[in-house]
Amino acid sequence: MKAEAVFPFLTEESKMYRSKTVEYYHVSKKALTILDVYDKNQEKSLVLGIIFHDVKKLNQKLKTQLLYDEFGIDQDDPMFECLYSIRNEKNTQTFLLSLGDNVAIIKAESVELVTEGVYAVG
Amino acid sequence: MKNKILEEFDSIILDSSQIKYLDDAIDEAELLNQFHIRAFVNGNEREYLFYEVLEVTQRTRPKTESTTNNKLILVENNDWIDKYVQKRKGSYSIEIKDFSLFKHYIFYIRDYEFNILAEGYNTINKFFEIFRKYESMKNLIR
Repeated sequence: MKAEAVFPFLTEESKMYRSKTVEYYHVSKKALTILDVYDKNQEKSLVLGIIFHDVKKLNQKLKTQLLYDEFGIDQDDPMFECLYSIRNEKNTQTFLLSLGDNVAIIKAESVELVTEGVYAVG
Repeated sequence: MKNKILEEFDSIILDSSQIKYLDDAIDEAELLNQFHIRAFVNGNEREYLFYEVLEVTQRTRPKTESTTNNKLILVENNDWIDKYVQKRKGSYSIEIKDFSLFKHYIFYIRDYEFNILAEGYNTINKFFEIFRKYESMKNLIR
């Protein structure tokens, strides 16, 4: 099993100060994160919302060789830029979101991109 | 597992949880993550802010496990931190001088189990909103 980029046309913008937030909501079982990205298809920068549906697990872990091996990622990989995923059992995927030397691991049913009504906060 | 009960709850409902990552190239003290748990305790807003967070797991417990006891506990052994220090060896990471400052907390809220490896936590009696300040973003997560 090998994790692959969910949106290969997106790269994260580099900034002096970065912060990322992943928020999970009990009532809807959704999680939300907001990213500053560059869209290679549209050739422009975007503020992007990523919504995870039916979240089962939400972990934050250190990037280690163990983790790279588990998800079949090369160490030369630009540290899971943007969002990676691996399909496990039916109806669930494990998503990997880079957070500096850590990674957020989100087990959810699906993911949705939103560009309307989202702001670069958090 | 030896542990100490920090808080027990008669009535607690999870509202939301939040992983917050800060990367400030200027202030190295700000490099570690935060983890927030927002819950209604006896109907009132209470936010737990764990700081200097090394690792977090959030899972839903299977129905077969006891989900009646709602509590926040402090695990009084070093198993997780020992394992963490071992894993860190050889990986690119910011320097941490004293691992003995970190503690293993477990928070049980009904079906949820949170394991948090952090230096400590604070509480405030109000939710500190980021995304939900905006009506359009509030609608997205309904």
